[in-house]
Amino acid sequence: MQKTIDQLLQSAFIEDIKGKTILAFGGVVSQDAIVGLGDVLRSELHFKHSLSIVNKVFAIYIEMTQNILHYSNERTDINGKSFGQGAVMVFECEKGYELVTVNLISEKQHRYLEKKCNLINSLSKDDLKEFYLKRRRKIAETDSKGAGLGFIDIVRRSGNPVIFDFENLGNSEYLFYLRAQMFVD
Amino acid sequence: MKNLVIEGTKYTPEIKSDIQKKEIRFYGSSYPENANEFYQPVYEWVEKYFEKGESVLDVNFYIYYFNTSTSKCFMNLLEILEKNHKADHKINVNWYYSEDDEDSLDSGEKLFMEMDLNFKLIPVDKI
Repeated sequence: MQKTIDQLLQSAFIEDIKGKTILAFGGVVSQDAIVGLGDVLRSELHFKHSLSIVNKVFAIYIEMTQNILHYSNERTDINGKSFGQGAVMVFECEKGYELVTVNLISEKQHRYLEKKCNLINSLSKDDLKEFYLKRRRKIAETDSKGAGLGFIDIVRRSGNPVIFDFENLGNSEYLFYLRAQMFVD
Repeated sequence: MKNLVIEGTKYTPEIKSDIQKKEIRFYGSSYPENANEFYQPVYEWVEKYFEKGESVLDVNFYIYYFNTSTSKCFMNLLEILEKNHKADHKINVNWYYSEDDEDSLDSGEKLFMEMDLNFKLIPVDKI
């Protein structure tokens, strides 16, 4: 029902991003799509940056897209496997890179994500590390795919808080907008 | 007991054991769709290896990049190794990291925090 990429392109959430779009994809975010687009992204970055920068942007891209794959509330079943739908865009800006994703979430996910993102944004670099270790120990005991660790990793690698927003669509559904800023010296 | 042989892909590492050499090595990147499922055979192999009476194992990680759900799985694996280390088995873990990538050492270091294991972080030119 959603055309998330169109919504993202028209949204106020990315209005202030001034830069060149180097990657844009909307639809079924399968592992194959993530891997294929990831290759495109890596090779694009590879021309301009050191390995360290390439790997940082790539790692942030992987966490953001795998979040859609696992947790988007809009799902497609293909050959007995379930894939999340959503959109991802990567911009090359004057100061570095901006990565943006959008996907559908439930009311419950909305409450969880709002709390989680605010908490992670409020932590210092050292506290973030501490929190990461604590979370990982805890998560290791459960069946979770690692929810939460991804956000910490995004903030840690990018060196910036995440920017996020929710759009209430009614029927207890929301669009979750997420934006990571990775500045290059 | 058979050696563990998992061929690598773009997003999963090659994992091979050598029972003769008492070694298991991981080589490549790790961001599988379902990390828990992917690493299950590895946990099982390591548990079985020690159950069968072996007491020495070198574990070599040449991991270029791993995502957060993999870090959880590596923790599980290191916990299995820690348990066996405490049971007086001789386990050496080597984590090779890329000198050109500042996050590579940091990610490795964090894995071994709070772990009671013999481990080394070894810089290399390129993985």
